[in-house]
Amino acid sequence: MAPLLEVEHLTKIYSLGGGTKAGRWLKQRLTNTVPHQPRLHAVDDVSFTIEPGESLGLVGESGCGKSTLVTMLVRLSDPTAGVIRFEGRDISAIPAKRFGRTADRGRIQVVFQDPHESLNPRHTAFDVIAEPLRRLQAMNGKALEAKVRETAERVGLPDTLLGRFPHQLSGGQKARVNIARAIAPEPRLLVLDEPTSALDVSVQAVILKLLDRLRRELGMSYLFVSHDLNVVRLLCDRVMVMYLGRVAELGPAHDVFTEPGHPYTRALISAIPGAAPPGGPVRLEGDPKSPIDPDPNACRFHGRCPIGKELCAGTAPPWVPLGPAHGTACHFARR
Amino acid sequence: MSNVPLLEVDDVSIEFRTRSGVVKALEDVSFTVAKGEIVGLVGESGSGKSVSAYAAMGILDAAGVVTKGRIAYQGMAINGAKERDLQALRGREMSMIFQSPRTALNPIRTVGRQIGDVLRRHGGATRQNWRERAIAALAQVRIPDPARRAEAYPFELSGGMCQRICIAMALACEPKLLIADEPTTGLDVTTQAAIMDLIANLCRARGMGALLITHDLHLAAESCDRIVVMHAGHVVETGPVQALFARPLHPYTASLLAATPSPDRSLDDIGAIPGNLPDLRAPLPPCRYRTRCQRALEVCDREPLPALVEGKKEGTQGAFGPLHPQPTANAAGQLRSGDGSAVAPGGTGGQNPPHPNHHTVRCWNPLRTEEAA
Repeated sequence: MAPLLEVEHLTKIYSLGGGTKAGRWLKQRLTNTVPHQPRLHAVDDVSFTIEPGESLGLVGESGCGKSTLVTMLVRLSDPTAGVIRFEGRDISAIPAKRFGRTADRGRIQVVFQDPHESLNPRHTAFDVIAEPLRRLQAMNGKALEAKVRETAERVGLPDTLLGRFPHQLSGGQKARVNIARAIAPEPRLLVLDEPTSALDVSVQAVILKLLDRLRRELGMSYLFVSHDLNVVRLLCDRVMVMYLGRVAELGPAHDVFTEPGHPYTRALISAIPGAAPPGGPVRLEGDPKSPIDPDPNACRFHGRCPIGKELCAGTAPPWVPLGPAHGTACHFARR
Repeated sequence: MSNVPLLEVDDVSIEFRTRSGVVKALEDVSFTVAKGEIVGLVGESGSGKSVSAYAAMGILDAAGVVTKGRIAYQGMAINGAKERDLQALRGREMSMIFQSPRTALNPIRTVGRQIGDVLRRHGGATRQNWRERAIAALAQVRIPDPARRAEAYPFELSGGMCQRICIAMALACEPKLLIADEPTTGLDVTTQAAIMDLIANLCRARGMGALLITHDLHLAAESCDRIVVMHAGHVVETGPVQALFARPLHPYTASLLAATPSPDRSLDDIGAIPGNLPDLRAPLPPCRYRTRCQRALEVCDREPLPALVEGKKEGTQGAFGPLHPQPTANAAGQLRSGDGSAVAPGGTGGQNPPHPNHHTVRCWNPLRTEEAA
């Protein structure tokens, strides 16, 4: 079966500083040199696929490009280079401004971080869930009402709460409204951006079970962004670890957690409270390097890596396969 | 150092008088923090964790009233103290890391200056050296390039960075007691590990006491010495960390643990806690967990909460003894040992709260050993 989503060499680079376009042009003409402009490599040459019905976890530190990648995938921003193929169609060519009016908008939906802040305080739960149906599927009247009630029931939101405003709902109920809003247009791909990080453990368990059930019932694929690795392990078939805009490791969840190939993955797993990693805890020193103008011929993790050698400073690591679906970008990957 | 704990919260009740009624936020809450130890305060949001912390700092909202009990820092009463005396304590003696770092920082002052303000007010820094001391404080929480970051405004920094600034500010004057209200929520696991290592090192090296408020049970299990579990304004269980996590006695603690994802659990193994926290404005049953509890007995509706202590002394964990019911449970519901034999040597029984290392629970039907396993 063809993958639902295919991402090839996706790159997002932000140009920094250097004044206005006109100013740069003038400077170039006057000095007859091309001024150097710093470039921030937010996402750099990322490729992966998501199969229908599959759940892919995306983990990494803040600033590693998770959110930039997500905004490109859901087509809220335009990639600098690379291709995003959704159900075989290249959707990266459509400008983000126009994507909202294509039929694919309803097929790729997002559940945003923090249910407390991502709901419009002036919309009732009903309005929130009805909004995408009105806009994308031009539903109204009885049909709209029936669809909203059906969706609310699917996520376990009692009928009586539909008239309430966000401030009258509990954290768990807000999370349900958010999920209902996202699944109302019947998406094929649901991007979940830290859906439970703002919730209590008692509520988190319920929401995770709900998400797992919905995926099986509706046959959706998930891209699950989180930095809680215990949660990723529960919900995901495969895991992708990002570091400074690059994919550090990609593989089946079980393999990545039990036999991590990349030293960064090992450090991440060992930092989970309560985890007893094989070989004792690995603590990382310092912070990631700057994503501005990174050295193309060095490993991004070099300098922070516990096993880094000279080779890592001079040659970017190749992709090393560790298993049929498991691979990592490290010179010293554990096979 | 005498055996006066750093922070002592003894039988405290707090009410908030609001327009929609009196919120009974805390009831009969007792716990202590000693020198050099990290005490974890865990529970769902709304269970009174932050209110306890605010009361300990003496910064309760004007609507909040301590109706009963005593809060003391090294023997000095906090509730009822003069504001000027409290100001002398805060910052130097006890300091707090607040939730939501973005709103805790002043948006129109550079972070270096804000840390400098604290150092000059409480830390004895001078006009000449506050800047370098602020930079040193930033370096301590592993902020890269601290000299440059000191010139930044909060909006220029990421959430994780702001969080570390708040931590640097709280630790700048080397307080004896640190109250950390969810200090690592929103931080990456790697940064979280580094921050918790830092706090643990300070406790060990300088004898700082810390009260760590969190809802991450794994984090509490890893970094704390003792745990206090709160539910809806009650302390339901306290105990040393290993004992409490290995054998939770209160059904709420047990279900909290069962709801936490962990490496060896599948999605089917984690259980949710039914129901919600009760409305603290309404008349409440003696046990506030009553409506969510599957082990409730008829006595739970009638009698005030008992205070039970694990039957055996420390060091005899293999032979887990029976729980001794409190014979005079109506005496203010204070956490007490049941009989003399259960109290640590030197304990007078009756008058004092139980030895901090005892595993205590407030429930009529606590989990027995065989059920907890």
